[in-house]
Amino acid sequence: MDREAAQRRLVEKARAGEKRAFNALYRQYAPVVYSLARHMMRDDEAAADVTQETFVRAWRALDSLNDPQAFGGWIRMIALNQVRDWARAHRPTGSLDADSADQVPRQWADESIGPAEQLEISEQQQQVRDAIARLGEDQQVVVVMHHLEGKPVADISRELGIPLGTVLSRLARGREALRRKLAPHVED
Amino acid sequence: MKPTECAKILPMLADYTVGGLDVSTVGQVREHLAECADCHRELEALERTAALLTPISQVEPPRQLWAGIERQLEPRRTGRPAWSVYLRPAVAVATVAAVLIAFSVFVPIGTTPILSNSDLPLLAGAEGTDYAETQIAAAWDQPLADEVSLALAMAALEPVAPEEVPQ
Repeated sequence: MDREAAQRRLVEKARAGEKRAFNALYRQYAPVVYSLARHMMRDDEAAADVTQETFVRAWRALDSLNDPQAFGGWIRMIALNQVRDWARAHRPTGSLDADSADQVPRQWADESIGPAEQLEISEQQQQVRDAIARLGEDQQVVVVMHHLEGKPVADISRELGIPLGTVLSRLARGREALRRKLAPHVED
Repeated sequence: MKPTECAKILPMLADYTVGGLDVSTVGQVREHLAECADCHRELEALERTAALLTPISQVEPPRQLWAGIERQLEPRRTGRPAWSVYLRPAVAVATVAAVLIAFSVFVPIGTTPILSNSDLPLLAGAEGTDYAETQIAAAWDQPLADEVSLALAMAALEPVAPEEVPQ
C-alpha cells in the first residue's frame, strides 16, 4: 500500500472514531506541526499548546476534510491559524514575536556579528514570520512546505493532492506577496 | 525598454523564479531581462525574498503531549464502531421481514373470491344487490382483491328477473 493510500485509510478510520488511527496520524505530523509552531512563535511551551490544540481541533473537524490525502496540508493550515490566534491573544501589536526581539535565532548567533546587527537580523526574521503568517491560506501552506520545510514541489503536489502547476502558481503568488510585504529588506 | 513590454514581463517574474513558465516564455523573459535593468532589479528582489525564508529544523514535540490530546478526544458524533458496518445489512433484512409480516397480517393477499359462481343466483333481489354492492365497494379499496371475481360480481348486478331465481 503506498503512503497516500495508507494515509487515506488512517483518516477514514479516525473519522469512524478510531483513536489508534488518529494517533498514527499524530505520530506522523506532530513533529511537523510542533516545529512549525516553534519556528513561528519562538516559544517552546506555546508551540506545544498550539500543537495540542491543533490536533484536538483536527479530531473534531475531521468530517470537514474533503480529501483525506490532503490531511498534511490541512493540519498545517489549522496549526497556522492557531499560531495567528495565539499571536492576536498574546501580542497586543499583532506581531508574532514582539517581545523577543532580543532572542537571536541560533543560526544567526554569530560572535562576529555585533549586537546591533544581531538585533537587526532578529527584527528582520520577525517580519518574515509575520509576513508568512499574513499570507492567504493556500499560498501559506505551499510556502511553508517548500521554503521552510524544504520539500520539492513535486512532493508538495502529491502530498496536497493538487496539480504541480497549481503548486507552482501558489508558490509564485506567495513569493510576490512576501516580496511586497518585505520590500524594505529586499529592495536595493 | 518599452513600458508595455515590462508590463507584460513583470507579472511573469515570480513564476519564472519558481520554474512555472513554459520553455518559449522562459526564452522571452530571459531576452527581456538581458536588456531591462528595472525588471532585472525586480527579479533580484524576488530572489532575495526567497533567500530570507530560512529553513526550519524539525524537532520532536514533548513526549507527554499525546496524553493531553487524547484526554480531549471525545467520542466522535459521526463515528461508528467498525462492527456497525456488518450490523447494517442485518438491520435492513430484519426491517424488510417485519414489513412483509405486517403486510400479510393486515392486507389479505390472494383473497378468496368475493363471489363464487354458486353464489350468483342468490344475488337476485334487493338483499343480494346490497350484499354485492358492499363487496364491490370494499374491493375497490383492496388493490389485491380478486379482479375476476369482482368482474363477475359486477355482471351479476345487472337486473335479474325474480322469476328466474330458482326456488
